[in-house]
Amino acid sequence: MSRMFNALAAAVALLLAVGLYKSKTEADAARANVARLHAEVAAAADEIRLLKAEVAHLESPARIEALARAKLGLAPAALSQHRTLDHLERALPPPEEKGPRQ
Amino acid sequence: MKAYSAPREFEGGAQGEASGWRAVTEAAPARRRLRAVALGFMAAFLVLGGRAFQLALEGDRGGGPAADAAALIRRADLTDRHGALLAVTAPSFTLYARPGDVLDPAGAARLLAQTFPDLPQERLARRLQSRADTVLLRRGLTERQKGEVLELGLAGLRFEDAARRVYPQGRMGAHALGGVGARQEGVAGVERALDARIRRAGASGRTVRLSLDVRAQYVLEQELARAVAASKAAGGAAIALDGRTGEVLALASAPDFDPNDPPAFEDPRRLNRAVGGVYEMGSVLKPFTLAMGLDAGVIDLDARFEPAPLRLGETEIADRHPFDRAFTLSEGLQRSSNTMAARVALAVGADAQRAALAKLGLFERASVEAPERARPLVPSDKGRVTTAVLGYGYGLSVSVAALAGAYTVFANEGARVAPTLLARERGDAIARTVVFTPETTRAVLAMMRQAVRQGTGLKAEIPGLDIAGKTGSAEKHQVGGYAPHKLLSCFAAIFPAADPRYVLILALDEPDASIEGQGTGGAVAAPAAGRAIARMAPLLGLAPEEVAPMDDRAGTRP
Repeated sequence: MSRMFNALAAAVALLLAVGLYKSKTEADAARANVARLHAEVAAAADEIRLLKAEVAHLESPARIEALARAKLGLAPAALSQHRTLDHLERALPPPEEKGPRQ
Repeated sequence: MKAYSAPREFEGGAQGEASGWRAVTEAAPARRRLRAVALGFMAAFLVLGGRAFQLALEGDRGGGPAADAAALIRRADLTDRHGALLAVTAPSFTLYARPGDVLDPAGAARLLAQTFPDLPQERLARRLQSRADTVLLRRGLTERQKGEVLELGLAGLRFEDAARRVYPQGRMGAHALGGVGARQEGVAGVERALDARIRRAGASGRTVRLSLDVRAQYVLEQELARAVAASKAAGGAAIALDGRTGEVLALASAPDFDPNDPPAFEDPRRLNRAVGGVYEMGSVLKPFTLAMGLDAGVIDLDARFEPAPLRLGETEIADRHPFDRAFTLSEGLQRSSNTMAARVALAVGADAQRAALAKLGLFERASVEAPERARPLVPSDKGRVTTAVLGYGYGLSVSVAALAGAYTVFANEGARVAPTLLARERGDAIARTVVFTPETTRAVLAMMRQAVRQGTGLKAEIPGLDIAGKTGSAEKHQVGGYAPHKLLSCFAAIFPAADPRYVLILALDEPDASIEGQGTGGAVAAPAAGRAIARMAPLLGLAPEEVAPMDDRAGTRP
């Protein structure tokens, strides 16, 4: 009786040991994966910063103006080219009198 | 002791009774030693087993690469008020060599010198042959440069992760931004003045938002550079700010430099003339003198002044554009009369004058976030001559930034707001120092509008934009007195005059006196300031008043 019990206990202990080992290994793999993903995120963040800097450089007013002049023949709008809605109202012809709707 | 009878048998009976007893007494300590050793082994195995068990449960938590990355200093990005990037920290690499592992120092130096033309080959060779364990070859390598070095296939080189500060806007805002040193510590400009804040923000992943506006900055720098070139000036400084909040929208100093590749510290291009240089500003201080006179009650708006020169002992004060009749305050300001300013200053008195100048912030360093900001040179005596000349801007040397701070009184009904390079958040409390009464400020502002409409500031007049301003052409003090042909030519503007808000100051250092207008503020600084305002106004949401009728109006009518 006690021998059978011992054998059973040994089997359970063995099973537990194997299970523990397996879950440990899996946890390690998951941890390594998390670390790798963290590194990837950090690298991507660095790349985003660089790309943003690149965008800021490309959008720099000096560069845009030079390109607009050279490629498009455009120049910054002169002050006389700015008008507000008030101006528009005054510049438009007065609404014409129309006959009643049919 | 009886238990130890076995050794007797073991040793045999050859030695007899007496020797048997000796064996027992000798064997007892040996047994004890054995037991002690066994216990020691057991303890050691227990420790090892325990540690193995612990590791099995927890795993190794030793420092990995992540810990190193956290130790890396990361400065926050700097942005302009609308979020455009001004400074970014990018990953970079520092190149080291272990001279002991370098196989062919001369050859390696040659290859490296080809990759980095800025490193002289002889110096590289010397370093690679040094007896030091590790030598630094170059900081701030980009990912691409690292790849190039790796492709050389040289032994004994090693890279370390570092950071590199990049200014994506290039030269723009260089003087305001400043720069960082080899260890990413701020060494100039905002980078130094706000070093701790930038590091703190960087550690928590935030950005630092400055008050600058890249578009306004671009316009101001361009117009300043143009004016400096056209007037053949030694340099120039300009600043534009929102007078209501004190936020600096643009700060320019010419000549400038590329912060991505900064010249040496002692290079004159590094001088920030807007905050780091103090000058006698001349007539741009006259509006303050008039305001002091009006507030003190020593003059009123109907005051008349005689055109005669003013004699104070041996000093005679005369006007550059003298009148041939008595003139009003407004006329005097339009023609920039020194005698009028001197007479008003004397009437105000030395003490009241100094008190007002101190409240205007002209006796202290400008408040902008820049380590370069220079102390003003304040007159030490309170004599009549000093007081009189102070009335038209001589004897007191201040920075362009400090002058801009003083001019904010015209945007705040007589209260001064300290200029800042940090963007204000909505709801931030803004400290105001009341200097003049609202009525006085409005009256003087109206005179400054006339000075642009029909006075010395005429060349700053932009049709449709209501610009008020004052010119200044101060002779520079040199050994032996004032030099009549070495001027600090300046224009200080407030706009729009009807709803005063923005302050713009543009100063040129020693413009060529042989050009038209003799390089005075009205001839060289006023037109540049006017052009800058004309280009900036739409960016600030200011629409021009309708002055010229729309030309196409007739054409659109049937």
